[in-house]
Amino acid sequence: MTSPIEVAERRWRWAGGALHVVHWGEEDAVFHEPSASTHLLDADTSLVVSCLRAASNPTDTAQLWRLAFGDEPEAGDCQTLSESLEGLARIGLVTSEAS
Amino acid sequence: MNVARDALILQVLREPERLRALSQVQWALLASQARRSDLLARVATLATETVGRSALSAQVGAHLDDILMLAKAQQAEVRREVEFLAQALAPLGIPVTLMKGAAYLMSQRQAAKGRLYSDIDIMVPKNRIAEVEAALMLHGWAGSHHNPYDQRYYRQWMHEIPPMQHIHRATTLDVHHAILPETARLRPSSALILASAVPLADDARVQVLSAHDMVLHSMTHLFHNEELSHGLRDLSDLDLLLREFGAHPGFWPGLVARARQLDLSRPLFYGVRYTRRSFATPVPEEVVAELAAHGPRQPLTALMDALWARGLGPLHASAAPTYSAPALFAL
Amino acid sequence: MNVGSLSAADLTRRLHGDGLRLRNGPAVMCVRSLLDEVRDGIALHYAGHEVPADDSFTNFHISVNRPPGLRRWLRPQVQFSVDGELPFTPLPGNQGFPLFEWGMNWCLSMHLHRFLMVHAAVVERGGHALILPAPPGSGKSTLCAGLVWRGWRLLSDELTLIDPASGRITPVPRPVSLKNASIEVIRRFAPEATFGPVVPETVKGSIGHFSPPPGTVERAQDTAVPAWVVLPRFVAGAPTQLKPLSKGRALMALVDNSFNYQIHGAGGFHTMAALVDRSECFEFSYSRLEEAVELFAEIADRREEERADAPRGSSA
Repeated sequence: MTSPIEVAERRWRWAGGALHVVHWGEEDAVFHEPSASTHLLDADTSLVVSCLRAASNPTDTAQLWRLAFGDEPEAGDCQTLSESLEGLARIGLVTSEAS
Repeated sequence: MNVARDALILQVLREPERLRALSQVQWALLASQARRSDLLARVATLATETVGRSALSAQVGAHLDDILMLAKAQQAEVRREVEFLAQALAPLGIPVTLMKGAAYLMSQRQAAKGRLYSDIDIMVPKNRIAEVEAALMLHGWAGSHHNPYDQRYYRQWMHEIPPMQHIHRATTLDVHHAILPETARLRPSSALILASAVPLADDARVQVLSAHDMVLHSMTHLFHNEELSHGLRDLSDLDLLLREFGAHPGFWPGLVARARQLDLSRPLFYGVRYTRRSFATPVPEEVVAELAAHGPRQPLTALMDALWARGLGPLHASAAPTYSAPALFAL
Repeated sequence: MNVGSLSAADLTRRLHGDGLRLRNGPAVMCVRSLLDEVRDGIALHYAGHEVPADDSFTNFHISVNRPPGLRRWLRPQVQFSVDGELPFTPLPGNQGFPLFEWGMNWCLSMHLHRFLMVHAAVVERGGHALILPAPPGSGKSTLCAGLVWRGWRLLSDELTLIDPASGRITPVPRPVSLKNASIEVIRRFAPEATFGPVVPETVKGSIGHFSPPPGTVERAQDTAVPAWVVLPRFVAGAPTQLKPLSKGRALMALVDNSFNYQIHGAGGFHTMAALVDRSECFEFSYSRLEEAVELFAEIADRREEERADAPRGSSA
């Protein structure tokens, strides 16, 4: 489990490659070509992925929260977001680096 | 059951034009022999190239389409895996040296035609195996065969570490440090082989063995492999390699010299002998004559010929099956 | 020509000799077997199945026989082979017919890549297909078996074949297999069903098969448009209940139950997405087959009414 300080210091990047997306209200089904993998993303996760895809530079967790949800992350928000992003990294949709 | 010298699959591989005149029943027999020898996709590719898809009956065409879909998906998977491998090994400064099927595909050899793939084989220097393993594990490849006996078998006696499997993609990777086991009589120098490896034209992170070494590896692999289940497929690959490279001047004398340098003249003798017998692979007469001196004494040659005739056959009926029918089709 | 038009002697001769050509939906098998139970099962359940001409193409050479060796006398076994390959370990000697059925399913699911294939039962009514993907123990087979005796046409009890180009489902009509208590349930539910002998003590319990209901094999060419994706679950004592399932979760269920989704790549994703998009998707739990079947009849009727009410020119 990463400490709050570590969480704030990771930067995230879209893994690249074509992403096929089908929107269904609260869920998006995606097919990621480079990994040939299929996933179901909830609305929030899908929004985060869109932000990363649009970003040209690696983005830290707090900034990603602001971009996706339009407000300042509160206590625990970055931790929650980071855990989601780690999940996305495991399935190959995003990569991360230390700041 | 052996593959007789006049078996339909051999006739067709020797002369793809024969595909034009096949009846529906002959097609069924050919497809069955081909599938058994892991050559159905190759036959399908030859059919498309020789007679054209539209000349095939609807049933034959659809049957071949099925295997070509599989081949295409496997090719895409190999390309993806090579990319992931390159990313994993780049920090170590070690190129991904591909062998066998993946090498044929990425360097666009004729031997990639209609090839099916099960795993990827790479070669790395022996003194860097530990680093390579660590880097691969960091990127999601897990070791296998964890019991001490298997571990010792692979690491001490074989030319590879236990196969690795990727935890998400479930693809298999064989990491070799030599082309023959430690226990083999012949000891071709891995250092010489790696030093002659050639980077891909469009990706310097990835390389393949030189043309000579690619051929010699194929021959060596054929004759030292315990399971002969891919015998005919590997021989067909070799035939395609020799036809493609053989067209280049200097290839054949260079091959004989390289074989001598790597102590692989005996496998070269057999490789030339059996591709010529099976596929009438064009080999210059002077090369055949020169190699005769590297063959075994006569009685042994006859024995090898007989073993080879058997070895070309499909999976022997006694090969252990791995699935239980009810488990696969549980209600 | 179909199996039923062959004399007993001719059927035996083909099975013992060069092989019986037998149509299996889009594929043709060449079947060889010396086992009486295989011949008898084919005679009983495959009477309406086409026997293509002797000079036609066959997709698979399969055989179900005793493996060679001394065991054939001591404790006989049966083994399935396709194109000379032995994909399964041998089974005890009396399981020849179940092995024949499992083997043919394996053949199709491993090789027919022109289709996107899902491990799911699929039945049709009014041109619309109801797809029931489910892992073992879900009660899918019992539900499927009930439906085909109450107005639904059997397309397959195991293999849903989706044509990527059209999105339509291709039938593979074959005998329906049931196990253990389900056999008796369906015997009572559908006394008109033709059951073969029950084979006891397989790995999955007792196995029985009934012949495809009348009209099934005759309409093997008639494809269907997907309309419903339902994940069934048999739960003892449970009320008959249909719960909406999100499209996304229905998609993932189809993907997870697919034999060859990986082979179809991005195209497969779009085929599955289009399928769930046009379908109503549910989770379904039940314990009483009669009620379950009635509920699906209502759903089918509602679909028919909607189509009848739709303005002229709109598509179903």
